[in-house]
Amino acid sequence: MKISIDEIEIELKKHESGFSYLRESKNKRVEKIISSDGGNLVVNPVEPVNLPSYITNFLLVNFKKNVVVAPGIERTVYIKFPVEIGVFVSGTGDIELIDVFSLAKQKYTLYGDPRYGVVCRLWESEVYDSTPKADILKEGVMELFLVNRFDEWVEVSKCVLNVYLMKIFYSDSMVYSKVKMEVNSKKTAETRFLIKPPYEDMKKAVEIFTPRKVQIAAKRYFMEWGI
Amino acid sequence: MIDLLNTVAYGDTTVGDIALSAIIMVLAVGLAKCVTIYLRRGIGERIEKNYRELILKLIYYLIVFIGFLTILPLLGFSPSGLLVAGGITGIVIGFASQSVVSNLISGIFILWEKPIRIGDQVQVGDISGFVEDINVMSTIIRTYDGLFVRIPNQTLFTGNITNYTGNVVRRFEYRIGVRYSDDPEKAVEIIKRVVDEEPFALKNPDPAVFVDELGDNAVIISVRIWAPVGVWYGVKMRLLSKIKTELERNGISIPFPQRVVWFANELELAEGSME
Repeated sequence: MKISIDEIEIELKKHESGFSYLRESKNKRVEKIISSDGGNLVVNPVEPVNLPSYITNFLLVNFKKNVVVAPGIERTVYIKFPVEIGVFVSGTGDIELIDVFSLAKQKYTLYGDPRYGVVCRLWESEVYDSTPKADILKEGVMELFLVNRFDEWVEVSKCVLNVYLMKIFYSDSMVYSKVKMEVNSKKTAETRFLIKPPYEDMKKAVEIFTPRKVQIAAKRYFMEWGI
Repeated sequence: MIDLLNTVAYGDTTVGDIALSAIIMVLAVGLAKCVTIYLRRGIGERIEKNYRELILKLIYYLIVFIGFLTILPLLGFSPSGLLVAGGITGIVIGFASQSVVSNLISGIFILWEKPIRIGDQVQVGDISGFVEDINVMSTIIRTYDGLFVRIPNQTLFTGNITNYTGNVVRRFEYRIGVRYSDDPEKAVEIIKRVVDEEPFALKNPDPAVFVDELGDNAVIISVRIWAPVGVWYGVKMRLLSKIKTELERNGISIPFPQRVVWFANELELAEGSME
């Protein structure tokens, strides 16, 4: 079996003792032997914090233009997030990640101070008022439900998310995720992923960080170092 | 055999009591080890290693202590009597084992204050390496060249500790010299581009690349980069090589040390030297 994704080729070959997995791109080659009698290969978007290596579970989306929100306002805006593609093998029982790759640029940043802050995967995005078009191999669309609970105007320039509970949905034309951001003051906000699928024809992606695999799955992230 | 076990060793305590005490202590230590091994497997990576080891040590010593309390009556000591006698005995033992107690107290404070954790990279005095274990009496360091070093907790607690992994991120610096004939602004732009392409060279705090010094042999460009502590050394090793390659690809060289020598009088060749 052979799949081509842009410049990347994935090949799964059957041998007497199992299978061999091969991913090849311009400058990288990943090869693995899968010892199994059968099973499935699942390829879908995963939480975008695994490359070049996993060091954090936070994603920071920096808005190219700040959003100024009036007191008490609830609005839905759209931003983009980076896409990483995970390859899983599934058989009887468990499902296991064997490879992750991405066509999106990888960059990290610090949110907060060097002592208590968190390292985050960084992504720069425009803010849209309707669902934007995106190259599904590089970017996903995030529906951001913005709520200003503070009694003053606030200016929002970024959104920091804990991807441990990220829910990603995908179809042939779009990778999608839904987030709620509640602003509590001029400097603080709470973010969390919503788990409802946006459209019926979208499939839910298999996640890397399931509650079973991570220590504590925080449902919300409290942005205390500025918004 | 039974006669031997019934033989009085001292007071009301028989040889059998002493043997039974020894068996109870061996069992207690064995049980403590089994329980901690089982718990270590059960807990796995669900609790941070530092806290996991602390909890396991507490459970281990608690079981051993219960075993110790169990054998006291067999050996003819009353636990309550020990408490009374403990006041005077404690003072005597305290003076006799001042450094032991000092290490113990320091160990408790280190575990409480947590200036270092298992797995951290630290420097204590002239010893640098990874913290392998923090015990009640001493701390074990594995140096970068793989040596086992045991540091008494008193030394650790009263000395200066530099924890290289205490913060989330850390900064490192390169000083790169380019020729006076090269355009330093172009060199700065190239270095900035290389740094931007490195995923773990953090965007914030932003990297600083600037002409820092007009040196004897070169224009010195300072490059200061922040990286996550877990990967900073890899980034440091990787980036310098990339910067050198990219500068050279764009015709900018890193000069060798050189000195221009001016003579007060023009040099004259000695007569016949060219023959």
